[in-house]
Amino acid sequence: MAISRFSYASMNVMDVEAAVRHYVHVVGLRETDRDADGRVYLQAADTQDHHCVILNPAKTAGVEHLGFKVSDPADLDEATAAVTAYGLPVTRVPAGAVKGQGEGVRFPLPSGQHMMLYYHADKVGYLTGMENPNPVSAHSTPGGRVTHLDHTLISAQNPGDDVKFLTEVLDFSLTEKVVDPAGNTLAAFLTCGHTMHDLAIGPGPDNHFHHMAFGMDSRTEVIHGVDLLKEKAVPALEYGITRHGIAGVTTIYFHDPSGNRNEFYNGAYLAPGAPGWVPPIVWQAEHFPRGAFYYENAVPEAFFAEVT
Amino acid sequence: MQVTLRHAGRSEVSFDCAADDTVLVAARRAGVTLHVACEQGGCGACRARVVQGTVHYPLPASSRWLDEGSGSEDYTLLCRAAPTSALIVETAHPWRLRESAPLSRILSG
Ligand code: FES
Repeated sequence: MAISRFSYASMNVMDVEAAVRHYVHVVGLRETDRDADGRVYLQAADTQDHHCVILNPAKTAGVEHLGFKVSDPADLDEATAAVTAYGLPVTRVPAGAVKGQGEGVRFPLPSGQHMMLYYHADKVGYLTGMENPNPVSAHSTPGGRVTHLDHTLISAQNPGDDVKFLTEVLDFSLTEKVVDPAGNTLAAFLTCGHTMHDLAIGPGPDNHFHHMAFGMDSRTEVIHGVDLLKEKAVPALEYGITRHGIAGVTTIYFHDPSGNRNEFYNGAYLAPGAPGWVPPIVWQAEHFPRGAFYYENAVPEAFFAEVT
Repeated sequence: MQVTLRHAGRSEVSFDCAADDTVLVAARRAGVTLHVACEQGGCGACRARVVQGTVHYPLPASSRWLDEGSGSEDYTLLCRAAPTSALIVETAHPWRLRESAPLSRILSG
């Protein structure tokens, strides 16, 4: 089976219009569509597909499901068989149930968050257009200069269970992990694409969402993003701009108007998603503060404790 | 409106909260640093149990945390709750009191 990329996060928000303002004017996405159920679809500048974020009107914050693209329509049948055999319930989702998207298969991870695999996405094209475009991204559009939705981190009581499922059943590749003295996995970073993580699992309660990260072209753009967050008084983590020891990326975290965590970031290293090609980097738990926040060498208490 | 915070093992603190100010805003003004993360009613970092009094929500707060444990309105999120009566709450996390060094006294106005 070939899952080729992390495509979108379908998020629950308590005020859709406030969320749209945030994802357009702070994050820098463009609104691409709306549907009859009040959902709003958005996409980043450098991705052609219909959406990378879906906003669902809801009473709670958190993730509704995570969308991953497969590289062949037949992968949906293969995934259905493999996930069912693993003992997790699979639902076939008809084309169009998620707007702009073909048929999909949906199932919960061992930690409870739902994943959707699908093959077809309608195309909206790049922000700069599909004919004779400008070679630089559009600096006149509002919000951060994000290029694409890059990865997400979810929380799990036993991250090792998710890792086992993702690597053994869905052919994800483990690039980095944090282990406790007994060898249990506390956090894990997995790829199905070409950089070191598409999906990461952190310590915390089952079925909760930690953050989604929007990629930027350079550290300079992240600095610009921090300025924007400060100017717009967006609640952000006290650390920032900073670096993660894990992957060494430049980063800042902030929150959407429903409290869902977002990240602006740049600089993940390349790692092929082919299973087993790159043996994982291992972090012992005592070094985790440096792995999490390289400059500060400490993890703020609320960082892993608080999730939506 | 008077707000009183309680947390096991510490002495309670009280401060005033203006109409439509959230408890978080009023606490900051009073030099009380609450445990928060998102400040947007989503993550539950600031949750507290209502011992006495009532609140309203000028902006939405996630029902996931309001219903927690009891299925009732016993819980509140202090980053989004504005008291509609004198309020006593028991916070899930301890708060910090701002140090009263000369500079922080000036900064806190
Ligand atoms: S700080 Fe996140 S809900 Fe109040």
